[in-house]
Amino acid sequence: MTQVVSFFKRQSSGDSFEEVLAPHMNSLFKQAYQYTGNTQDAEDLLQDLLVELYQKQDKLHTAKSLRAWLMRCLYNRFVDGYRKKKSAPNFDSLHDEYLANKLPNDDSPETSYWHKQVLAGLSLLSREQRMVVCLHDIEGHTLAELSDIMKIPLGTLKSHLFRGRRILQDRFKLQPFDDCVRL
Amino acid sequence: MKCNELNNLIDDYIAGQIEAGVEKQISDHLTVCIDCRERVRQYKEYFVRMATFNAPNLDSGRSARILRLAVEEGEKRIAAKKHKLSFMRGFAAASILAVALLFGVNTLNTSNPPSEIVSMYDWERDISLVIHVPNDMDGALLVLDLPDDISIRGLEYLAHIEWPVDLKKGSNVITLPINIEPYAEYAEQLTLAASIEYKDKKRDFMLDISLASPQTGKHSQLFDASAALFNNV
Repeated sequence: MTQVVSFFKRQSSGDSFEEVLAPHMNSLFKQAYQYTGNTQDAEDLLQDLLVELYQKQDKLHTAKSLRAWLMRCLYNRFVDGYRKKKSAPNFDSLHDEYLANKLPNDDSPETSYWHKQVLAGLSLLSREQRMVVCLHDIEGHTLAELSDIMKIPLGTLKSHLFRGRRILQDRFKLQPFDDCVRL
Repeated sequence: MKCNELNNLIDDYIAGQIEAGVEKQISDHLTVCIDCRERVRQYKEYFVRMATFNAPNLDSGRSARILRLAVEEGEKRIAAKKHKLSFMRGFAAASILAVALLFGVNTLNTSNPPSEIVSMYDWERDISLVIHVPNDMDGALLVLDLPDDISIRGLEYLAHIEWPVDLKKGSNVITLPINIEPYAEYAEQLTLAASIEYKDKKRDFMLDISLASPQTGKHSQLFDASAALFNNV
């Protein structure tokens, strides 16, 4: 009976699993990349999330704000699944063939250099700090939005953001200035 | 404006999302406060650095491949879950139905044959005896006399085996790892002689084991003790 009900629910929702998720794949991948620091781990994280979501399609089709829900799922998956790995970003991946073709502004050595420095700085942050720094300072979400999306109190997010920024700023201070960047 | 007030507004100030009046206050403050001026400069530099960070795009080909693999893996996991669930249901049903031996202390005191229901089922060449007793029977002695066609794995040289068992009220499952001799498949029926001794009382039972047709199936499938016995349940 449950299967019959879920069958009709799925039918009524209209779109297939792939159709529902395809529009969100790029933003989810970017978010995963910001969390993991390299393309391979980002793909693995995204893959793990999708496999999990496939088994919970009822929730997928009934989520009120799908984008926000997916962002939260990805973050939770990142915290759960990658806590064990404790892997630092693989900076060699910056030079892999795929990334070399995909990085925006990849024609600028300076951009590539600072991209690498930001990645290295992000690896110093806790997962909570990394999440809020990426989504707030890079993706442009407001703290109020993030509080709603991640179901984390606003004050806690502010605290993570403040500490994360300070770590990054301290790291950036240690780098050469623009006019003497070692490339 | 005070320094801590500026700290609260610094994001909006740098983003240019602040009212004109407040912006004027901030500008005035920055002209006189070196620390805040330096803080604003650091924040601007920070945002410039962060703006250089752009995650790579996921092209449509890779996106489709990741989705396809996720669907395939998801299907596998769903199938595995269903299989596990159906196995557990089947196992539970078999456990409930396979009441192998109804044995009570009260029946020991009577000369009438006990109302026994004997049932076995094969599972990876293991026989499960399910003994149902109405009360706890600690230290009961279970005795089996094995026919030539059957032996206990690891104790192949024993035709007679006995061991104490603590039977608890309700169903007690005892698993016997057995070997069936190759020629046993030509026998229509095998009989296992069993007895239980408890408090100087002994009760004997004959447990029938029926085999499937020797012409079909693998050897491991031939031992089909459950079919005939389950029919009565």
